[in-house]
Parts: sequence; structure tokens; C-alpha cells
Amino acid sequence: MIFVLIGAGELISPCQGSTKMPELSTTELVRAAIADDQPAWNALVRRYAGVVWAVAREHGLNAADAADVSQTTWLNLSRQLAGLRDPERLAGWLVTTARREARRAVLARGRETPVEWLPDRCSAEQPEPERAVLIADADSTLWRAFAELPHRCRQLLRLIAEAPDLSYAQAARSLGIQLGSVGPIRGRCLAALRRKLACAGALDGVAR
Amino acid sequence: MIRDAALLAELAAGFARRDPLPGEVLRAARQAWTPSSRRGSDRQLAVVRDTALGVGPMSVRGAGYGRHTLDFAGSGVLLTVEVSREADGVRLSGLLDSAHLGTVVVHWPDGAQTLAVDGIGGFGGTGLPCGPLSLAVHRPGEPVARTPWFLG
Repeated sequence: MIFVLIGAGELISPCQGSTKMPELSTTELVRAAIADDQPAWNALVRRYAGVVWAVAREHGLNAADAADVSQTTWLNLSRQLAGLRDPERLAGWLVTTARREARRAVLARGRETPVEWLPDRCSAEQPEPERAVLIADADSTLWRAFAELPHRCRQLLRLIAEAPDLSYAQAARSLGIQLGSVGPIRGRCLAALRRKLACAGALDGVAR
Repeated sequence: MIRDAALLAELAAGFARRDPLPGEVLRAARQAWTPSSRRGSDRQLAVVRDTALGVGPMSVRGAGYGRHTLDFAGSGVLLTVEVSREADGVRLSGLLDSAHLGTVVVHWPDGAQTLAVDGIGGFGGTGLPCGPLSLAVHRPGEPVARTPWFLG
């Protein structure tokens, strides 16, 4: 929550007061889920549902089609969980599977439609008004800068932002780019985003 | 300079606000859970051709928009399915190639329908719900052979 903090120090830590729970590794959660521990499955869903959704949306799918892609991906994981060769690479498996289903959905629609970067439903938890204004200001600056990036940059940055444990190899497979290109592209895209934010004066006061 | 991790974390937080994961999507993902008691001894068929993805040999005409063909194989079963969307839902038409013809059941997350298989293995269904579908081949004395879930 960096951008929402500019001039609002009291909001610096959105996690203040929360208790940090020990996190199980993905492998531990997969093993527990195979052993019929539904809370472990739910934890996997919490950890990775965002990136599955992001992959579908980055293919230009509307909310209904992205929901179908997401559900298909999780149904397949449920059925194939016990056969995963390397559970620690689950993020890559999910991204690859979601991408395949998203491509099917794109074909079914016959065309890709651009994602509108607007929420299509209200979040259950609405921030209080002053905080909402700060968030909206910060978001508009961030999103203007993000939207100006090339499509490949937006795809890669969203993927690695939503799934920080995704390896370069998995990201390369997911996006259909050379493994050796991921690092350089990532670096160029982040540098470009920083430049745009700096031009907009949005990096002032940001944690460095 | 702002750290990469901080910038990416800020982006992730922004995505969560701008394009939030809908609650029903999260619920559907949780409900996708299949306990081992329901996994049973079913065999999983593998996708050997998918015209939507360019996997395997493509037909000369191609699948065309809105229609694609999938071939599945495994456990002595070859299954070809053409999937298309129509005004009243999804249409499936397929051919089952197996030493013992049985029945084909099409499943969706909260329902299923048995599709009649004719004497040469042909089957089909119309008006099926859009979204995830999976086919199960039931043959006498053999484990059930299931396709992965695919988008109909």
C-alpha cells in the first residue's frame, strides 16, 4: 500500500494490528489437500485464485468468461492434484492451465475484447470516504502509468505481481516468451513504470 | 530507487481494487474440491488434439470461430468431440472408438446428462450449459474414463 500513503502516514501499515500466521508451503498444502484436508484446498485457492483470475482477464475476457476459465482451472486441479510432479511449481501449472482455457474461451467468442480497468461489482468492504479518496488518487496515477505500458509489459507485470513465487521459466512458458527474455523484459517494464510515476510526481514519499 | 518488490506489491494491491476477484469465483474454486472418496479409480484421458490451441494435427478447414475439436485418448478409448456454442447453449457431437461401446455422460459442475451412443460410437447433445464440461465413458467391466474439464 505504498501509493495510498502519500501524505497519510496513519495509513502506512494496512496490516497493523493483524497477527502474522505461520504460512505453510505450497507443497505442504498440496499434500494436505491430497489427504482430504479441505481447509488446505481453501488455502491454495486463497493463495492462487488471484493469479488465475488475472490470466483470464489479461486475455481480454469479460467477467463471466473469466469466471468459467477460473472454475475450469480449479476443477482440473482438483482432479489432477495427486498427480502433480512438483507441487512447489503449482503457480506455473495453474497459470499454464488458465491460459489454455482462456485461449479456448477467446476462440469461442471469436475475438478478444479489451479489459476495462474498472471493477464490475462493488467490493463487500468499502473503505471509509477519506481513505477512498486517497486510494482513488493513487490508483488513477498508478493506472495511468500502467496503462501506458506496452501490452507485453502489462501481462508480465500483472503475472509476477499476482504470483511472486512464479519462476522465470514458468512465466516464460505462460507468456510464450524466451526464458532469457523474462529478466530483461521485467527490468525494462519496471523501469518504464518508475519513469512514468516519477514524471507524475508519484514517487515522492514512497518507501525506497 | 523504489524496490521492485514494493512496486509489484503496490500493483497487486491496485489490481485487487481495480479488478477484484468476484466472490462467486472464489466460492466456485473452493467448491471445485473433490475428496478422494469421489476420485475413485477413474482413468484420466489425455488431450491429443485441440484445434483451439493448435495441439496436434489441424484440420484443413480449421475449427473456425466458436467451434473446436478435441481428441482424447487413453485406457483403450479414443474420443473425438466437436464443441460449438449456439443460441440455446453448447452443442457437442462426438465419436467414441473403443472395443466395447458403452455410454457417455457429460458432466458440468452441478449436473450431468447421459448421451446415447449409436452402433458406430456416435453421440451428441444440445442445449448444454456454457462453462466447464467433462465427458465420462462408461464401459462394462472397465474403469470409468474421464476427460479433463474443458470449456464448452
